[in-house]
Amino acid sequence: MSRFMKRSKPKGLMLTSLLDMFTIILIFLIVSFEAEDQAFKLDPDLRLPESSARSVFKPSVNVVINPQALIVEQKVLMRLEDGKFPADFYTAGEIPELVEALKVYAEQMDFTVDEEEQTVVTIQADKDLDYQTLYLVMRSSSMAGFARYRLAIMKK
Amino acid sequence: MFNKRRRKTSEVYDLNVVPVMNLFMVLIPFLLLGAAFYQIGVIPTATATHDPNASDVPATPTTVSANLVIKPDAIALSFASTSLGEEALSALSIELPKKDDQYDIEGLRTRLTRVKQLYPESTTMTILPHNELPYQVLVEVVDGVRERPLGFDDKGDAKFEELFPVTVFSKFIPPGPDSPVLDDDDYDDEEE
Repeated sequence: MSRFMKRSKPKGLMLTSLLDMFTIILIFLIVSFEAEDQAFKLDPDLRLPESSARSVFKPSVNVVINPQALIVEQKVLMRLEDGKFPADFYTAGEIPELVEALKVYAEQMDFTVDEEEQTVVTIQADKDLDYQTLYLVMRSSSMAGFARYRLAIMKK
Repeated sequence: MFNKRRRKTSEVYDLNVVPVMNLFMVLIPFLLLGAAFYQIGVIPTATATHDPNASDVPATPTTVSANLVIKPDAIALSFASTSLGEEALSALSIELPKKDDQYDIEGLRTRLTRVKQLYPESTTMTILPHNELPYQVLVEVVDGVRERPLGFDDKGDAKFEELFPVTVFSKFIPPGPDSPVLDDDDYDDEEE
């Protein structure tokens, strides 16, 4: 009887395999955490194009063109209809609101530090956006003094 | 008594992993919040700036600058240079029609590789897409002209050869009411 009682004694929970799993997850997350771009906030309403470009992301003035709106530094500048600006903007070749907004950023910059590095705009645009609209945004940025661009892409 | 003592010392204890588990349970949600599950990169580019005194052809005689016109049904590649004549430049030029509704990126890359071998200092390409070109297709073309893959090195990392890494976007000026109507041949000459 006493032998039987000894055998039926409950054993402790085996945590070794769970611990192994957690260790693997932890290592994976630590590696991902290092690769994170803290300064970049991906707009949830757009899908970036995929590219094999290997240039690393650097923070700069962020302009987003998603199908619903034009956003500068997370502030909605104007609403769009199906990713299109009003027709007269295309005729004029500029978006006055964007030019004005970027001029404000240009005035705030300290050009004694590194002018080339500062007059850059990071453009996040939906992968289905037409070139006409993309170029209109780039041209308007150029008019505000930002003639160089970083087109945000999703790495393949 | 001796037997009892020996039995006591040989008893095996389980390692108490519960505090380690607690630590993991705190660390994992914290790292999950900050983890990036996608990698963002950038394509550095520029637009053409208008300078009445500047020339669009390179100053050094050993280089050529490329112009890539992306039409709805084809891509047309042409070159400009201060030292090469019209004949030499037109020999380098090529027009590649779409294949299976896709732009012939491989054909373009082959031609650019040949030009790069002839004029290795050349780096700049001006791209003139048509208005309705989707952004994803534009990025694929830019990827094609920037570099070409050369397989893998000893460490297993991908190797690339630079072709025309400096890309400048431009656009055709629509003809005004008084301008003569442009046909397809004029399309190559008028740019902003």
